[in-house]
Amino acid sequence: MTAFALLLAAAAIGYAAAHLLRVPAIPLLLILGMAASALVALPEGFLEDVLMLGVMVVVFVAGIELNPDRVGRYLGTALRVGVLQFFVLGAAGLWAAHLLGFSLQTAAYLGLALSASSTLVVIRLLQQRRELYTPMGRMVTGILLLQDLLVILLIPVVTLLDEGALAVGIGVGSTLALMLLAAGLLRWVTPRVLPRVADDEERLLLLVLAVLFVFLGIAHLLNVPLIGGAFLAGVALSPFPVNALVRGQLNSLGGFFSALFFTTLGAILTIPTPGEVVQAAILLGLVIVLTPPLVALVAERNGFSARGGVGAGLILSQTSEFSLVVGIQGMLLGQISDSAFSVIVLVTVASMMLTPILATTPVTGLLIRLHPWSGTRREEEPPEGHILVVGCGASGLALLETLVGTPHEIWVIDDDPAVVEQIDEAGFRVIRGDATDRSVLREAGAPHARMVVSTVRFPKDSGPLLELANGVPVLVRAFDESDAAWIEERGGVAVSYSEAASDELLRWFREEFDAPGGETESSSR
Amino acid sequence: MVVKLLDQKGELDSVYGRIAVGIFLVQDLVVVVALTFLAGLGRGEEMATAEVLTNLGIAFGGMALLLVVAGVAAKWVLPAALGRVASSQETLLIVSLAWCFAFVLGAEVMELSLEIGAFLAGLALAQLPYNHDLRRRVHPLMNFFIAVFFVSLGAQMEFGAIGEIWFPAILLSLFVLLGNPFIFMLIIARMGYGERTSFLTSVTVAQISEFSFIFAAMGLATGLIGEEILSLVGVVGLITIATSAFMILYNHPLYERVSALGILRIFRAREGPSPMSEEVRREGHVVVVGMNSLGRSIVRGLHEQGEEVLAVDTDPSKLRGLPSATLLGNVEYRAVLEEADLASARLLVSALHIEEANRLLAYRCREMGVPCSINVFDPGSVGDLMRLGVDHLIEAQRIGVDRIVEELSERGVFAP
Repeated sequence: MTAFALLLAAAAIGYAAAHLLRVPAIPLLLILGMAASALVALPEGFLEDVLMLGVMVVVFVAGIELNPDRVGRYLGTALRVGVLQFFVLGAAGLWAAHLLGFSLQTAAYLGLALSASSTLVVIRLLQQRRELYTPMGRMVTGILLLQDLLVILLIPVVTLLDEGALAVGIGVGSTLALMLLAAGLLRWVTPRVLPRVADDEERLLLLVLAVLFVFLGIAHLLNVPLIGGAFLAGVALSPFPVNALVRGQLNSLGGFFSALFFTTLGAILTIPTPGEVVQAAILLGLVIVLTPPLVALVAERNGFSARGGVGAGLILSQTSEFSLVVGIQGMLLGQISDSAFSVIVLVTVASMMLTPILATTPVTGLLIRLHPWSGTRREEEPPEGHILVVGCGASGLALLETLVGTPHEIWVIDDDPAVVEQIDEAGFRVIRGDATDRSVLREAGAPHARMVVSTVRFPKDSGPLLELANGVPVLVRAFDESDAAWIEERGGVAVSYSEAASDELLRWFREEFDAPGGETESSSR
Repeated sequence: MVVKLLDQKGELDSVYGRIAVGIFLVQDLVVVVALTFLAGLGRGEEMATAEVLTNLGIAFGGMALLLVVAGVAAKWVLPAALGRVASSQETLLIVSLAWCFAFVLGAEVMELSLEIGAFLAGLALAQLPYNHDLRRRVHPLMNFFIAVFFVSLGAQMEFGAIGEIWFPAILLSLFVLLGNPFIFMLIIARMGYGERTSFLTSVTVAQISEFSFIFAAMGLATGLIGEEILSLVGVVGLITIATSAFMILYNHPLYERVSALGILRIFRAREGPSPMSEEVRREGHVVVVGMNSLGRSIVRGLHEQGEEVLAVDTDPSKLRGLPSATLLGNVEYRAVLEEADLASARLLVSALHIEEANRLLAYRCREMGVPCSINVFDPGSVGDLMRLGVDHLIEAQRIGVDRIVEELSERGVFAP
């Protein structure tokens, strides 16, 4: 009980501190887990049990978010990016590990550990940033699903390699059988049967947990790693509306076991030797340096914007929770050393910790500036009396279509190479650059424009523009009241999207509900 | 178990439901005292009276100390401490669980029953303004661990001796199933409640509690009872819980039949309605989910139009300063939508930027036949929402561009 209370207390402190300091929780949970184990000697068997139970529930909950339908029309891109990242990183990891002096078998384990990204970290980040349903989020969901399936399929290959081709074949066959079972349930059973009992959330929760334990039982019987069973059970339950109906219930369980998992992981970590740190740093460098360009390259070739491609690459730059399982399997079978396991844990923990720092707007912007695209059109003299559109995301492109009807010349500033190319092809004058960069704004003639419209992602990025275009009417997109007040203070005209949307809703409401009878009659669309 | 059944029947807020829940709470408090008493008796070794009294004093002292800490924390520490993290649902849950286990640890240190620690920790959390939301979050964990608890308990019971205990088991079960309602009927009728309310309340409490098993397990651990008594408690629990579940499910027809026999007249319950009125439910209101700037603007607009509005959000700070009624909770829990009386609402509006939650809301509205208007954050989800029969889509991006074009037009940008 003491050990349990201590781990939970460490998790509570970690979460509270992360919330108050606005930093990611995972590193703090790991550090506090280490501190807890240094403070009190925690029983080893207990820690292993909590770790395994924790990772099962966490992976199961993550699997529920990986609904293949969500990938939609980005399936092809996800397949291409996922397979390329998986095999290139796997091969590079194997090669680098072998060069670092590991045996071929250990190097194979390390390669497999490096090949996939973390469903747990990435889905969580996408949910926090509300990007799960964006094109990038959908593609990344597909990549994660594919990579997790590949890791599950390849675990029997590396673990049973010693026992010959037949054993490997049986292992892979058993895993495929479990995957087929999950696919069958996902396609025909889950969305039809489970919602019938959904009127009672408790019954649904127990049923969902029963599915998890049945999968674990079958995985045990087939000699498939249990974590694979847990993940596939989650995927089998991922179709809408089952995932949505059970999410509220599973969030609590997932949160509880995830907190325990990361603090326990921290508690089992030992201080690595300098040699292991160097080996881990080299492998970590491989993951961080190779993943973004690989993903961005393929994603962009498949129609993604540079921001979307680079963003996807950065968010996928870490190893997976499955890497830990691969390491544990290897260690339990005596096929890899404690030192190799230490390296796997170090790479996984460090890359998971780095992801929230790397996958940010400033880093994405920095990488986009390094993008090898040279299509920017430069004019000798800055234009005058034109309409300047600054920032051209989803909102800006729709605006450009309308502005075609004006007698004025239209100029655009955007920093996304793929978007710039698209605008250029559509016949607009476009400058690639940062909207906060005064030289770019001058080059686009901001001080002498007839009108400027800014639809940049963060309204406060329009600060330099508002200063420079003093005397020119500048319309700036605003999301909330504080943004609007900030813009108005600097002489801009705030266009509040939420106010406009609210007005439109109220108009619809009056039309629909104030009609005689007060009932909705038909859809407004 | 009973609360769950009443909830399923939609009668948790009825007069008899509320009286029954009150009785359970008082019984739980009595159990805490009894568990402390058991803990004070020690390990069943023979002790002198003075020693027993000293142990009881230490046990009750420990319990009082925990109670004081819980009370002080509930009044001065927890509201401020948890208030700072209340906007993060995950943090609130984990900190609350850590609080619970800290008390469990405190109870262990003082050699009290661990359940006392958990109960007192819960008591302190129940005083917080967002305890409803917290309860809904802890509920899935409770369900998970209750299932584990009963399975483990069942695995420990030995029914080999059922031949020897069947007679006392049946006798005690009959006492609980018939004697319990008889006693409560007498008391509740004397307190001025009507015959129907008195009967329905009495039938609702005709079973032994989950705490009975904990009690028996403690008794066994302290050596005060043998394994056969634990088995007896188990059998009585099974019989009474199973039978009373059916008595609660069919309580209204049961009342009609028993009332027709005329035997309820002996309790001399008063005629007419009970002194407590049923809870008033909202009807014809508009539920607005997600208090971002869009949600707040919609709430204000609807309120100015004279609509009855209920604003829902998971963050207490976002609910402050609104002119309408508010509800703290996550709409992914069905209980929150029930608390918002969605089934009788005129419209649901979701201003959320969370696509998964929006899809679930559209699904729930379709199930309940309530019109809905959903915010489309990402154009990619329009198709999914339309398939779910959403009545109106809030397309902020499109509408925002239209507003910019209007502004440009007013400034003569489109003029030749």
